[in-house]
Amino acid sequence: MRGPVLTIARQELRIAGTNRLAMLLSGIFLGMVLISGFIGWASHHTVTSVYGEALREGAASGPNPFSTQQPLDLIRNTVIYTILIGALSAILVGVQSAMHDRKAGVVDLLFSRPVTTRQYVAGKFLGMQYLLALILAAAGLLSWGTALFIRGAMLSPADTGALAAFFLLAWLFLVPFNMLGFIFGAGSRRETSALLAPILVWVLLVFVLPQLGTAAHPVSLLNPVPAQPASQGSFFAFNHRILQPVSPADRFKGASAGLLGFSPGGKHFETFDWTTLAIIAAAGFIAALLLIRSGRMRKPVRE
Amino acid sequence: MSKAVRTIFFKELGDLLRRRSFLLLCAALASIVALSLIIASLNYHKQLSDYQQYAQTLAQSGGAAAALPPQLSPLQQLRGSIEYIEIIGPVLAIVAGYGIVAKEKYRGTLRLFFSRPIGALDLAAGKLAALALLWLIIILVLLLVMATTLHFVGGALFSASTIAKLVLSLAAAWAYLMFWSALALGLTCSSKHLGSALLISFIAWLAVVLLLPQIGDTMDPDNQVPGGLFQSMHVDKSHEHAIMAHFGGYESARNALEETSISKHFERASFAFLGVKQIYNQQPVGYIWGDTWKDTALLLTGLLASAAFALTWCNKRNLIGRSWK
Repeated sequence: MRGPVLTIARQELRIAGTNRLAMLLSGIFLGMVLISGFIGWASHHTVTSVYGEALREGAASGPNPFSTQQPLDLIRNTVIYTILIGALSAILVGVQSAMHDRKAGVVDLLFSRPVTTRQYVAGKFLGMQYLLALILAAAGLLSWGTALFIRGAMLSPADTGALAAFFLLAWLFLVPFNMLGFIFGAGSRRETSALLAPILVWVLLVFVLPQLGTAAHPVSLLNPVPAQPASQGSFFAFNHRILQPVSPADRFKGASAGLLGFSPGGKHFETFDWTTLAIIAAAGFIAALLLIRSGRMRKPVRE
Repeated sequence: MSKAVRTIFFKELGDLLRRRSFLLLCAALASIVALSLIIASLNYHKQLSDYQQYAQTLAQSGGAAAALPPQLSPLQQLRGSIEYIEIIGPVLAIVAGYGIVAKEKYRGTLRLFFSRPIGALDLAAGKLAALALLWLIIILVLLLVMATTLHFVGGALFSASTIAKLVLSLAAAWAYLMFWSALALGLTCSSKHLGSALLISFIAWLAVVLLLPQIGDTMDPDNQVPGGLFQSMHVDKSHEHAIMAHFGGYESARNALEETSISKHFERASFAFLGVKQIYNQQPVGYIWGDTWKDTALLLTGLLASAAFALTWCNKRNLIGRSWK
């Protein structure tokens, strides 16, 4: 089993390296990670100046509101960019990977060899996860460098560990979206449906699911802090109790806030959020193993 | 409209309306819009019932409520629905604009088409006209869904002014969706690779709809501290304005960044008509228009530019003059 799985994984990486669009998306994600650091720096600089001005005008007293800010708070926007660009890129990588094999006729050739569908899926999974891990590792290095540049001091070993844990968490968050794209890419008759259906699922998971429990407006959900229930003891509080535990975006935001230290409770480790994301990631892989059929993949792709 | 444009228009409209997967996605958008409205209505009614309970408890103990009851402003409940049109609408618009050209390239019907005596702009004009009518039909369906949900779930009553404001905000939505369809049509005509056209359109959506407004919003100093920066420093509004006057350059850059996104202009125009922004709530249409016409003008400029882009690229030379993959 190991032979074909690793060969397919290696081939996947080779193709991804020549896929200009996958590279473009990765570049955009890495660019946004850098911008996130710049936004953190610009906001930090402005808030400190606003505070200084307020003190000069005698309009404020007390400590700088940023004085208790954690070092990793600077990159809090990366949480949102992972939910937006990261998840959509993971979907596109999945769709493109399956579509490439179908349109180029690789599937017919591959399944004429002694390779099972599960070996194919496992190989593709390995290749795509390696690619995502590489991109996230580069993003982690960029974030570390940005923090060094802005603060003028290296992150402590504890903060460096928290940063590494955050990007590991981001990988767990991206796995199900990548598998979703791969499943639709492998099964859809049209390329547009293969792209649209997982994007629609993404919209449901990132916007609609949290909204049902919080009554928050969709645009306000583009915030790294998880939304709170609309009111206690109401329809929303009930929905919040039922749906929030399984909402991947909320779990990711909750665990990230704990790691990067911008949650009201300060820095902490959210075991429940990590476990839930790990279960959802595993479910994504299992769903791909169970749902992808070689017969369906062999059907021609239409526009 | 020439005979060729008319023929293309009717043929494309029929094709679009027969595409089940696209219609299903439009139905999904309508459902999400209605669901968002139901959530907003339930939230309002919960707030009202909490207030009534609070007022009743105070009355029983001989006191009177200091706060005013929450006011039902029916159109404000549409905020979430409009935000869904702003976010998901372009995805459907891109698919419609892309599909209308991609199917021709895929089936190889373009050569046959251009063997007929048609004008240079007829193909693009016919396709754009079909997309325009398609979005008009979808917007009318959304208008019906919104008005019905607002009336039966939100308990809203409509006046002529309310209906006019709802129609104007949905007219802005039509222009916004047409902008995306025309852009995707132009990109598909100009691209050698069909898949690339679709992906580039999606990347444009990601940047314009999600990233640019989000960056501008997160750069707001007041959003940097939980509960608001000025509130955390106990600074009142008058001092806040005086302090921020020293940061004009930063604020201008932040605003300029937001203004590069056509989504922001759609949002500002439609939120003004719906009274989501409190200064426009319950104001006459003329007053709102006088204050926000620039956003509508920029939205229409964007639409004209994307239509011109589609008309320029959707021609014989680009479509059959070079090979596509």
